[in-house]
Amino acid sequence: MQVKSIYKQFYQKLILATSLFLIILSFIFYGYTKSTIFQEIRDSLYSDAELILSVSKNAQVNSKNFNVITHNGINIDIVTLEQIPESPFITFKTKSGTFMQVLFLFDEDKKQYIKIIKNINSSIEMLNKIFNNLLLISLGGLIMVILYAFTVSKTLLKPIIDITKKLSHMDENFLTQINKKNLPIEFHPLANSINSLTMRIETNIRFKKELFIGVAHELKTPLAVMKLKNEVTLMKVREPQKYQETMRLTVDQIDEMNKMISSILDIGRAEGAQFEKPEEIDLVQYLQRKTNDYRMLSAKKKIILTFFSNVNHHQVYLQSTLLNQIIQNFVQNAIKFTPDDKAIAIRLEKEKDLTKITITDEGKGIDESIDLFAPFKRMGEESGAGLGLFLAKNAADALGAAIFLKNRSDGISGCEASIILPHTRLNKPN
Amino acid sequence: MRILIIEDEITLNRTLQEGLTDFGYQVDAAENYKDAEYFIDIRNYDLVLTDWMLPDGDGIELCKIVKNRSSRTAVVILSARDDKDSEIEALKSGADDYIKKPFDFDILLARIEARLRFGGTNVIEIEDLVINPDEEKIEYNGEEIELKGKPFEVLTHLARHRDQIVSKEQLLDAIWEEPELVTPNVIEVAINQIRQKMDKPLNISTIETIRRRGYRFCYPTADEEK
Repeated sequence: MQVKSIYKQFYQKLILATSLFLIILSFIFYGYTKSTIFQEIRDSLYSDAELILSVSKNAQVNSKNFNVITHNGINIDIVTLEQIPESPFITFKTKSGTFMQVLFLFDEDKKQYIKIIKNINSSIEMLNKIFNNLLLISLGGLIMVILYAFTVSKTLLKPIIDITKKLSHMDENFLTQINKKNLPIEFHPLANSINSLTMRIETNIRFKKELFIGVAHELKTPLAVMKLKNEVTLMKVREPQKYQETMRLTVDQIDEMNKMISSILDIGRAEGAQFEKPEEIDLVQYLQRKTNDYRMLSAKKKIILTFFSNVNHHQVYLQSTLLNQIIQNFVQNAIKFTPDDKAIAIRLEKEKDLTKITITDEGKGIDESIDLFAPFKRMGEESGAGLGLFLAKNAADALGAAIFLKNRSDGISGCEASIILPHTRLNKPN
Repeated sequence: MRILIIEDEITLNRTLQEGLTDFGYQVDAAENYKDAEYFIDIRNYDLVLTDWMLPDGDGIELCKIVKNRSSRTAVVILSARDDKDSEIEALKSGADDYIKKPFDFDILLARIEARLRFGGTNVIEIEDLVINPDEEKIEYNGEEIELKGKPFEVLTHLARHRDQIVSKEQLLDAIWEEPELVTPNVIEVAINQIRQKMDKPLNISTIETIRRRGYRFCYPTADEEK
């Protein structure tokens, strides 16, 4: 199986292209030189023949005198040919060398032609010399091309190698951000997405760690209570009531642990929801439906639940299970902490670049100084595992939404929970 | 011996109180950092048993406060955190011991006992005097002495802390359940009983009174050694 290497591909292609270029260039140069020289020779032969023709036509001179007109290395004759020669020029080789011959029409009626044969050994030698020199230069050029190819490929590869080196040193225990200062701009989008990914991994790991410590504490406490109570009760003989009390307590603690384990399993299930396919829904309709569902819960405490929206329709494309996790948790908290006969409002506001969903209640508000989204944070002495907001935060991260919890600023006591969905995450990708 | 329990889980708190009181310790219990601070301020404790994660604070901080007030008070941290780093952090911050939840109650008892021995053994043997707190027995030269109840506890406490002068307050906190509700006289009564039942008949001196400061276990003195 072929393993791809950018470096190899780079220099192979460079070498191929440049060598081909060199070879073609050499061919062209040599070919052009050769044809030019040969053309020169033909031209001179031609002009000689013309000269002979013009001089001898008048003077009726014969071949023996022709040699005087031109110079050495040339053999001149007059021949009679029955057929018109196809081409006036022929090049041929004999034992003594290479010759070029021209047949020039002398007397059309007598079918006589001037035949000039020229020894072109010197030209051929020169051409050979040129050829050899070209060969040497090409060879040298080829070596330079190879070196050049390797160097250029290496330089082009440098930023890629730098990034891969940095990444290969990272594992989940050693996450660093990539410094964009020394990186070419073409790599910036890559570096950006890697950096944001590493940040998310760090946050995730931190959360998981907190979750584990929290889970240990939350499960170990009921165990410790049961163990201690039973051990102390067994230390002496006691009245039946004492034993009953201990056993009832044991059962209660087991129920507590059960609830905790269910909450933790919910987190596992929630992680799965991240991979659900998004769907197109009308947010206004969706929230109206949810408000009706929640009225069943709020009715028990005679709490009034209302839904307001600043638009009649709002088509969005998102993972509705995740959105539900957040809204459900906010509404449940609002109902839990709002006294009877009060009101809770769910508000949808569609703005230019984002959509805001707010749930406002009339409870006693929250302690803004602690991070309520951390796992196992409970408010007051209320029941529950303390994992709802943690789940909501995870769901929000997966949706690309931001969630906030703060106290109402309009003078009325209560909490305002908001979800901000940027429109870039709500539109269907093309 | 007075123990302070700081644990926010109510059932755990109450059960520990019950269990330790059953074994003869004076126990106070707090459910949060603030209450714990209050108790530490008003009473002297021989041992503080605290959870790490409290709703309004950190058991480790409490440990530092206790140690600042009196370095001889043992601090034991109870925690559901069972990782190595937590244990090391707790011990480095000054805790004398670290117990992971869930724990065996009898082991907890044994450890508390070990802490409260202050380097001695359960049974205190000094020259010819043997004090056995587990069986509430005192022997001098092999013969049993009739001394029980509060006077016995006072003698045992002083014997355990025989390298210090123990103030009346400390004695009250260690031995009486509601130290604020008894008159300090009770100490003098107890000391008197000890002297009546032991010092006089055996011709030894077990406790010396140090004016305005308290009492100190002083057996054997140089004379007695002769």
